[in-house]
Amino acid sequence: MERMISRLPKWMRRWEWILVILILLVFALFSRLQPDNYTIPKLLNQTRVYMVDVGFLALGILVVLILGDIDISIGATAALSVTVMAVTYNQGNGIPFLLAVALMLLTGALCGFVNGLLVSRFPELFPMIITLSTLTLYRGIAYIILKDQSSGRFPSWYAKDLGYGSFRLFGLDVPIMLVCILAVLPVYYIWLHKSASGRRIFAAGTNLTASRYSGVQTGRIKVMAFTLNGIMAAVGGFFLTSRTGSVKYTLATGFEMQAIAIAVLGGASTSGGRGSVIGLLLALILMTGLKNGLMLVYNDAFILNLSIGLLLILIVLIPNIAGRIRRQNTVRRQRMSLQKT
Amino acid sequence: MKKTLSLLLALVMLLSLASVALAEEPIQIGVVYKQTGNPFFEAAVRGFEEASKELGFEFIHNGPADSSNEGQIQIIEGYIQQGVDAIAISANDAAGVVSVLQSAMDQGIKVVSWDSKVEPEGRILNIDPSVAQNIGRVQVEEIAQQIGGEGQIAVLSAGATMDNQNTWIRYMQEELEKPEYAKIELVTIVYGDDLTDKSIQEMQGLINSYPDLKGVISPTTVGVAAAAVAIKDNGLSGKIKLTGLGLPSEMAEYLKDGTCEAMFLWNPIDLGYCAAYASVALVKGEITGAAGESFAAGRLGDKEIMEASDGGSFTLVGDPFRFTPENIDDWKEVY
Amino acid sequence: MPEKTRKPGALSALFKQREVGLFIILAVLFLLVGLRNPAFTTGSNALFILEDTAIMMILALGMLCVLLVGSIDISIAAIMALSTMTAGIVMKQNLNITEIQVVTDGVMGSATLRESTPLILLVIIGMGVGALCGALNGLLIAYGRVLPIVATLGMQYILYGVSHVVSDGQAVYRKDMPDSFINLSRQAFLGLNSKIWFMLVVFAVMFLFLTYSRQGRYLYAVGSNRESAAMSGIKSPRATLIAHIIMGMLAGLAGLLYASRDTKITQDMAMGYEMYIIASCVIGGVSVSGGRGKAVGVLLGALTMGVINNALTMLRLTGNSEFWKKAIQGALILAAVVINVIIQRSKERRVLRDRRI
Repeated sequence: MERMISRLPKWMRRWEWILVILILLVFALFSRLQPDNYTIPKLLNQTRVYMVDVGFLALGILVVLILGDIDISIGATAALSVTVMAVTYNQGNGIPFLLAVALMLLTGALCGFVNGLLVSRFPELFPMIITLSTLTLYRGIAYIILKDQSSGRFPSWYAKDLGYGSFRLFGLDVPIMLVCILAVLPVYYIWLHKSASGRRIFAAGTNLTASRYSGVQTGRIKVMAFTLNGIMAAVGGFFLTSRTGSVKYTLATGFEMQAIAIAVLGGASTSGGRGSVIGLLLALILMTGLKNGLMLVYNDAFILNLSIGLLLILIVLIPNIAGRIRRQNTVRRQRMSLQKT
Repeated sequence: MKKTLSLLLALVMLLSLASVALAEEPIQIGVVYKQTGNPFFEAAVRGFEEASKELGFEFIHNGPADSSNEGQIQIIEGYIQQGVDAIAISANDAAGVVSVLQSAMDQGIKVVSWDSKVEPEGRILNIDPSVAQNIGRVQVEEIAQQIGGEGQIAVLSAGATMDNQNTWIRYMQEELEKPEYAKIELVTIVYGDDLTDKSIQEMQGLINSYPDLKGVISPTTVGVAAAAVAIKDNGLSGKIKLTGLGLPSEMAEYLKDGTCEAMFLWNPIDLGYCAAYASVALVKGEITGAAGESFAAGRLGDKEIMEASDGGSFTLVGDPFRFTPENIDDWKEVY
Repeated sequence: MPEKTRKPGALSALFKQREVGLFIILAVLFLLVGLRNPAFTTGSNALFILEDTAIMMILALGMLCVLLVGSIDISIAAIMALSTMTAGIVMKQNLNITEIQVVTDGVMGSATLRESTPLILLVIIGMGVGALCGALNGLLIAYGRVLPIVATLGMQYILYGVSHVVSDGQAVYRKDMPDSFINLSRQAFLGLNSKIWFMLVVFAVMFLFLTYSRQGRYLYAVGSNRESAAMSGIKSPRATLIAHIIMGMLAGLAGLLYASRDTKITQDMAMGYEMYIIASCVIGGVSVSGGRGKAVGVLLGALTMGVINNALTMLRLTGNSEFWKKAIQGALILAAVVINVIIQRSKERRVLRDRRI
């Protein structure tokens, strides 16, 4: 097996190919089980459900994970940002919708900024704990604004065209939301993987102290990364609301874990220094396809989550076990060669 | 001549085959309720089952575990993908599901709301369990009589966005403005979101914050059961009077031991049964959901469709029934 | 000439303890709220707060062990759900309802007796399943080298899913429970509710375990410095495993008490509790990187959260009692954690200063 893998050219030995294989398997399996419903046109329509809102959240958290930090407040950031948008639009005496959206982005950036500031100023505290408290803080503020009510009544194009609208492309109905996130991805990729500032982020994540000594402004990078994360969270919330039509303080609960799961499945490591935009996209596709297929077959949210959890653990566990076996084999081979002499 | 005849014959055969194939496709209904783990909706599903045996349709049912709007939207989108013929929904957020239901109706799916309605743009017909005014009125009458016409009362509701709750509470408040209730004060309305944990805490909060509280109305089966637990645990059975909409199977004990002297509900099985019949009638084209039409609802007789106050149309199932310690035994095994 | 260093008296040593500071803050808070609403400082209210927070305290004590070894467990709510649901299915299937005649005040009436599998067996099942789940977590983290966050995150999804499969989508309601279970969280001994007694027993055992037993001290060692612990012959994977198993057992116990109080077991119960528990621990002075924390601190942390909750209800801040709760909780955790850092930094500075170079 090892020799087979080492014979492949370098670009094929990457993690992303496993994701591709899994995607093909999932597609083959479910199109066999539900031939009428698991078709490309229907799936494209269903990408609205998961791929775009969690996708943006995952893009944001990816940068934070590469830095070796974590942020569990992104769901709350999304909720607060969209709450601001909803309330300013509905109560704001004729504020144009776009201004409300701008305020939403500002709120997201602010939430992220606060997180980044705290994380970089208090390195002894763990980002986990800091973002745990900002999570309750942000959701609490959203609760103070909205209480148990929900806010809605957005302009009709928001739900009709953005939430449920689509482009006609090559005879297929492509959701506009999907186009939005697909447009952002190449920009993200180029920035993170090919530019100098992206390289600095990877460096900081691999070894914070070494990077600092090499002149990388680690404090500033952290703040920037968290702020970007906040903006992405707001955007994700924006797309989520276009479908749900109303905002409640409980919006996006649990989404932080899903976003982290997607980023990790895509190749990011929670200890930092690793991550891939392409992997993230593939993980998103895999997860959407899997979720959708399971929902059709079982009509059950829990089986869904069970499979996601299983997948997540297996994906992380198997390389570890494989590594251990490899190490034991090496030790055994060394011992045997020693015996021969 | 022979050619035309054989062509005609082939065409007729083809058409009859097609109609057979179409006729063989059973109608599929997608049922969405507010949440799982709620015996009220489990009973409603039994109503659907009963109707499906009589009418021969298939149905799938689901609800979000956390009674959220987002959860219901996801389920509806799944149903759209599966190509159901009709969707019957009890909505957590009357306005929140409108967009996705409109998208369903655009694809030819008939939408019926029951129990907790959807705004008229998002539905074709609404099935109301009873006249909403009556539901509000009887609960106020009951609590007033139980507390002796004066004192503080509170309401433990479900979700602040649930339409049926808000409508009933509004009628309760209207009723309380009558002169005979002048000595009764509604101190607050709290929301338990139909989650047992939260509802118990809210009730406990009421007990702690309002030491002079004489009565509680909880127009939701989860809420009234939670309130009963809290009242009994604090040893206040009979000191704080309780009424509301409760399931006989859950509340039988509390009616027997005096924690709750009387409560109301309609039959959720009938509610589901009626919603099923309405959905099938819509799919088959027997009705269009406009006011003035009527449809046959099996053992419930003929149901008339009326104009609703929100601009859409609705139909009624029956009247609220008063449960007491005397008659509770008859009903506690039914639902 | 050796400097004369003042030997700190016993009292000042006591005050240096973090936990005492927390206790004082708590007492002050309690009194302040009492000024605003006298009903708050009654003995019965204090007892009520204790009773309400007891379940949280048990969970927090379990989380303490996990945090001490430098691990974390986001799946405790799911463990609660699965273990309680398992016990729930068992009690539901073996339920026997009998109607008996009772005479009350000279009047003949009927009462229902609900009996099922013996309570002790249900508790063993609940705690056993919990221990199993904890063991799975521990194995993944200690031997599978999976990061605790990832492992417990995945397990959370998995366990909630298994709970759903096991329950077949059905919930367990009051009518499916035997009287013994319903009364589990309602009995009172010597004036204190059973939940408080459970908590006290768990606390006592945990305190003795962590302070005086070898395995308990190993937890601190592994958390402080994994390599040195390994050098000293302590098997750190084993310590992590044990910590997670303890967490699982306590989660099982807490889940049963919770279900008994709510008289309801659903496949997704207690969702969201994990953050609350972690917050209680952090306020109580437990370090997330491991090696630091005390059982007493954890209790005080959970109590603080409980007091704030109750205070907000009693102060009647505008109708809905959850009004400021969420935001204040967040601000509180932040404050506690920042204070933690300040204390740490000043301690380090003092240690550096006291060194004789």
